[in-house]
Amino acid sequence: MKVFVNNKEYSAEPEDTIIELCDKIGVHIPRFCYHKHLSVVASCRMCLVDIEGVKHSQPACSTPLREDMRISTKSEKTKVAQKSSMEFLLINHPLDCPICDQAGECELQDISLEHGDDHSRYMQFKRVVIDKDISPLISTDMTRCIHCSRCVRFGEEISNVKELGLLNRGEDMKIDVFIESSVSSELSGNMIDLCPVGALNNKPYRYTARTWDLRQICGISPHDCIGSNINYHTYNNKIVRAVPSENPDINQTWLSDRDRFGYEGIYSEDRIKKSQMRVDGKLVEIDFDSIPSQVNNLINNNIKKHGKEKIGCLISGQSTSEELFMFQKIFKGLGVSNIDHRTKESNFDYQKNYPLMPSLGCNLKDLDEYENIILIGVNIKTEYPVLSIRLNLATKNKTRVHSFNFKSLDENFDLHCKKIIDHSNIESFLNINNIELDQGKTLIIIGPSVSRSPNQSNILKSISKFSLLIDAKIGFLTESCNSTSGWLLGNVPHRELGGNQSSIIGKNSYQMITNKLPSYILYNLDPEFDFFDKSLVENALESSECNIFFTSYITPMIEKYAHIIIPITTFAEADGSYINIEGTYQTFRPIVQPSKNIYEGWSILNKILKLNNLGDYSVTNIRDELKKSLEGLDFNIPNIDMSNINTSPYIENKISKESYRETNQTDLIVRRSESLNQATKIKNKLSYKNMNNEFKKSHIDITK
Amino acid sequence: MIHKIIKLLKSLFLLEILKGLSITGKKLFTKSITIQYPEEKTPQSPRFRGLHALRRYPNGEERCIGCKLCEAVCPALAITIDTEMRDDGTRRTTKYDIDLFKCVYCGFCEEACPVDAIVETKIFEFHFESRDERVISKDKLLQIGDIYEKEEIKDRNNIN
Repeated sequence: MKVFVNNKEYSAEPEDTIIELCDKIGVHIPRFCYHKHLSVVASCRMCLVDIEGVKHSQPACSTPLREDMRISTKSEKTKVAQKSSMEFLLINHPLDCPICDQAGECELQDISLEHGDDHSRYMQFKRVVIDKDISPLISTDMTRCIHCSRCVRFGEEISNVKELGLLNRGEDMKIDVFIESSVSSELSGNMIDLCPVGALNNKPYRYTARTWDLRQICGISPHDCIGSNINYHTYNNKIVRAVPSENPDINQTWLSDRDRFGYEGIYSEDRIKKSQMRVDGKLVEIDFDSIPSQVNNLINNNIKKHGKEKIGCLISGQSTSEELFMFQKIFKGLGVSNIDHRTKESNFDYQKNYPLMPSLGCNLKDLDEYENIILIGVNIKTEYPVLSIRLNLATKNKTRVHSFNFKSLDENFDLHCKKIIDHSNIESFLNINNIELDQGKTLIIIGPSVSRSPNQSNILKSISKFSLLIDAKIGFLTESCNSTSGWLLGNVPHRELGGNQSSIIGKNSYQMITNKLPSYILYNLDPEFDFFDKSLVENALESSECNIFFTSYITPMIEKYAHIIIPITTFAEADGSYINIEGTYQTFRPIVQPSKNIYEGWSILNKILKLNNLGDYSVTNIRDELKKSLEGLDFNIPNIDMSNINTSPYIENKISKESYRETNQTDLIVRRSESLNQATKIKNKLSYKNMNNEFKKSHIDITK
Repeated sequence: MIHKIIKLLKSLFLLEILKGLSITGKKLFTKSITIQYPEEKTPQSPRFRGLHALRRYPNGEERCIGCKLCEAVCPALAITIDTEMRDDGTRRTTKYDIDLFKCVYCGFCEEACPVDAIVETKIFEFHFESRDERVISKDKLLQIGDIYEKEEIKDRNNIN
């Protein structure tokens, strides 16, 4: 189709609107209410353009293209229309840019500079709206609102949690909530980005810096295996906020609150600042220079004293690929095969038949191609909030989503059926008669609650059998952001780097903990929360002679049982990379400089490696070798056959049955984020079941 | 030839010296323009730009809202500001430093300020005894503002 924009001819798709075409060809049209991922309401009237043969200017966002249409975005008529719209929008907008955090990145500011008038004719009183405390994460200055309703449409269409609404009409119109502090969805932070003015803003960031002072550095989310791209904004070598970095294949323009506010954890008070060693039963601070040799001596002495099979090496799946690579390089090089990153699991009969690495089986953007998606042991809404946006769109696109979980949890998209399963009776649910499958492709997604189940192998076996029966693909969603790397880089007792079977099969994490080894090395792990059972870990650490902790944070248990503590950097202070669940390898640079006595994890490991004459690496060397060992891997595995797993019968009371995690409890950094903790607290207080009558009375306030 | 003769005559009769002496003689009887500096001072324009000060509102509240426009506009990068949310929810500075060695007294900060908080007073005579003193802090700026508030108001009225 042929159209003319500013007298230039362009070919266009017939289903596009004017604004979509102009965005593609790079012609700027001012807009407030239009957003490419939201529905069109054409309420701000800022995108008015002049069309030849049409008497009045038309909104570009809602006017479809026509053959031989002649659009003018710069004509006098357009300019007059834009200037008038701008004047109306500014009537009630306060002139408080000097104290507004949005100033400098404000769409209203930019557009009024470009298209507005330089003086105001309006002399009457301006509207004032009283603010409500809607959330501990979002600050409100509703007087600044221009009623574009992007936040309302986000709740209705994208996150599917209707939190904000447009109340009243005319002069009294306002965006508001009914219950105070009730904006608590896992995606609420996106409304901050969507708001074109400073009405909804980042509360923890409030008044700390100005936009033109910030440095922007791209990072990758360390909190879930989706691998969302984040732009971290730093001021004076401190991260002050995080905003999404657009990646149409992964997170589009969205970000979960966990990714947005999780960085606060790196400024937690229990961050360890200097390496410590136990001398005469007390932890004493020591200089870093002697650390690598001390650690190396400890490891080698323990190997000599107790044997290679008596050392337990545990690493977190949240560590970067570089750290995971170096970790297994050292210990496999020394002949230790007790290496594991699956610290939350307890049943490992499945491991021999497990695929090379857990993967989703398809790309994230292809999820809506499946007619049926069966979720087993996962609550997408709380555990993978960004993924819930994809599934929400998929369900609207006629995908049926079935959910089988150990606990009754709500999703923010439509479920075709929801069933509560038990650890022992999964087979009775996975039955063709039980599940109404649509004609077409089926994907079974196995979540982290399954891996935490004490009956994991049996469950995997029956799922696998069922998938073969209905010819479905199996995909995984993993516990930590880099579990895929953990598997691929040989941080499992039975496999080598690149996924080859190793000759000696070492102890898995459960055996390491229950067998009470004389020496443990824990890398980037919180012994309190990162294991399937806290008391078992405590017993093991207590009975062991030597515990080496590589950690960013000191916890009571580390303080009590550590022999040596080596502070390491978090994701924000080191070079690193993660492999996400669809197999995308993403690298990132340090966002801020670590404090004086903290060193990058991989570089400490490299020093130990060098002392053992096992090699010497730089980041580029590590990445080259990583790429070599991962060459030719296909993450789109057609069908996984795990039906011949040798399973032992299920023992009911093996460990605690709690297999669900709160959204803000997933890893050691998120657990320390103050604003997220506060958000969780308020959310729990507000959940309807916990609400007592008095509280209801005081908080339900229908706006007058 | 003629030029040489004229030159000779001029130097012979000391004409240049007499000319110079006549000016000295005249000035001997006119009013002196030299002032005795510490005791006497030259008049200053109401627009004179000297040492900085931070002003307050009549009720004692500091005017500065920490918008950092002065910091942004400062061509010499002499101003450093840190802000926070004060307990009453307003935007305030925790740090407002001006490096007087860097400052070029251009007055842009005054012009950029949306609340007339930072001003340049007419004080031009100040000294430091160590290099550290060149950075003046928020407390000191507010103090200067308190002392010179009346003069400031007078100057501002004069300008308008």
